[in-house]
Amino acid sequence: MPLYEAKDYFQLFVSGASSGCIYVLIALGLIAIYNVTGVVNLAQGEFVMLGAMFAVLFRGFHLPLGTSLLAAVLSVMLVGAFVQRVTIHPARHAPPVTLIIITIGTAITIRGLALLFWGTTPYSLPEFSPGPPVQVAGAVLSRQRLWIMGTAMLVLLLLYLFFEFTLLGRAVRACALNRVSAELMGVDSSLMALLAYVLSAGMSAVAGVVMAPLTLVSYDMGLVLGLKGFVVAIMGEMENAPAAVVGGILLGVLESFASAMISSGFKDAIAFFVLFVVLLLRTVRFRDLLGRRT
Amino acid sequence: MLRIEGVSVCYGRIQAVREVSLSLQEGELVALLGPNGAGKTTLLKAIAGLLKPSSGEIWWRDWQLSLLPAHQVARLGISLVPEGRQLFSSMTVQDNLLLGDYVHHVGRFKNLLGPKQWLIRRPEDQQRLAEVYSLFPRLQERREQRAGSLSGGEQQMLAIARALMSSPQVLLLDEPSTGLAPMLVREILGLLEHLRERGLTIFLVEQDAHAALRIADRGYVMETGRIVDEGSRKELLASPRMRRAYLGGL
Ligand SMILES: Nc1ncnc2c1ncn2[C@@H]1O[C@H](COP(=O)(O)OP(=O)(O)O)[C@@H](O)[C@H]1O
Ligand SMILES: [Mg+2]
Repeated sequence: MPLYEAKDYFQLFVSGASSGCIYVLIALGLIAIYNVTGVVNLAQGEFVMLGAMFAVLFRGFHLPLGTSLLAAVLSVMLVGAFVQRVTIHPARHAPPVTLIIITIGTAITIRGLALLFWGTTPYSLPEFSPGPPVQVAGAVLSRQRLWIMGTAMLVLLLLYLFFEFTLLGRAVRACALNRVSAELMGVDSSLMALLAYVLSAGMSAVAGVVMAPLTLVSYDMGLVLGLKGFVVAIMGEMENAPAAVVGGILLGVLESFASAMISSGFKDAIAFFVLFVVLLLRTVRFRDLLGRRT
Repeated sequence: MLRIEGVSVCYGRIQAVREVSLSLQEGELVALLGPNGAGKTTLLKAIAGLLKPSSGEIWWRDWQLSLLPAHQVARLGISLVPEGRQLFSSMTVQDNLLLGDYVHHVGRFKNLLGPKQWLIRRPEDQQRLAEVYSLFPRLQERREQRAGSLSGGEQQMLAIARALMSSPQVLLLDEPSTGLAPMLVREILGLLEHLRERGLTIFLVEQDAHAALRIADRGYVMETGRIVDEGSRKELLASPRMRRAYLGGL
């Protein structure tokens, strides 16, 4: 086993934290949908894949990079709106287990369509600002990792401002807290459910777009990402956003240390080990997850 | 005028409201009395659009409410203060009131997406807030507190204040006096009288017939889903059935 210096630990920590930012974005989307509609959306990872794929697609039309990225995120939000109206909305009075199964079906459908359309070839996206890695306090970071962390922070800030300080954000929260009361206030809860879904799809698309330059983009990348987002959402007990932020970063850091110090083959297993421990310790009991309806 | 014509409401196979007909003139304060399980809450929920009648019609002016979802009914100016208050308890008092104000901002993106601090400085919204705070000074003192941390009486006041923020034409109240000390009950009844004098139409559901008939113009009595008695306050106070069942030999 090689010896590590303090700056190497810092390096592992920072690059892990940036991966963690991706999980956070996915998890917050899951939490938003769950709280407003009572649905555990197991198709969340597919929106990450679509974000990355659409960015590659629009880039192929020779659009400037910034325009491609924006168009990718907006397209995924449109897809999200369509998916919510066609799959979740008509079944909104069905039992939670039915709804979960519907979201699994949605995930398989989106992945299948992506396979038909893009095939199994992996694609790549250029870095947002190509150039040599930057030194931050002794750690060497690719510029894209700074983009990931910066974007995630910006999205978190915007979400916070939206939910805490705008009337529309309060109305979405109100639906999550007490749907019947929100309706009595004149809030259209089915529109708020759509809004939550579209916002969540957008957040996942942002995650897909910013991480794309660091990995190869392929039709099946959504599955593992969606599951990791789910693990992180559970760490936030499906409702606590700050806990999910900490949990997501923690998971990224754990993965980064495990793949450096044990073996990179361990990386994806960490999430499931964490899920196991978290479920054992307490947090959400699965029965609640399947039984809760707002 | 609010007209309920032959309305029945079912939960699955249980028929909780059976062919009820009644009406409220504008500006009236009408009480709906009856024991636990009579179907009073169910009827109010049907008016508010939370439950759909299995037969019959509910009309408010020219709108058939029974065809509309609850949020549309609320936007027409019919506001329900539900049983058990149903506050957004983890939000502040002021945020609860702002959600009551939501109907005035539907479809106005600048108001919906701007900072809520700007909203409460707009003259119309500021005036509505000032008005409910003048009716409930204690809420103003506690405006930054979580709604869940208020006392039972204060929570009931907040529930009524939140409904008033939407500037309703009709106020439906489901047992507002439940669990409150007699002094608070008197305070709330006084407030309802005051609101009626200002032209609000009020439909008050109560189990406590004494309390409700102290302020109501008219009343209906409901038992096992049906209206079994109705009349002016005087008629009900004199009705043998009422004296026997609800007024304890007044
Ligand atoms: N959600 C429900 N599901 C099934 N039955 C219900 C439900 N709510 C009320 N009921 C039944 O409907 C009847 C009327 O209830 P309710 O309207 O709450 O009466 P009240 O408000 O006069 O006490 C009761 O027999 C009650 O058991
Ligand atoms: Mg009741």
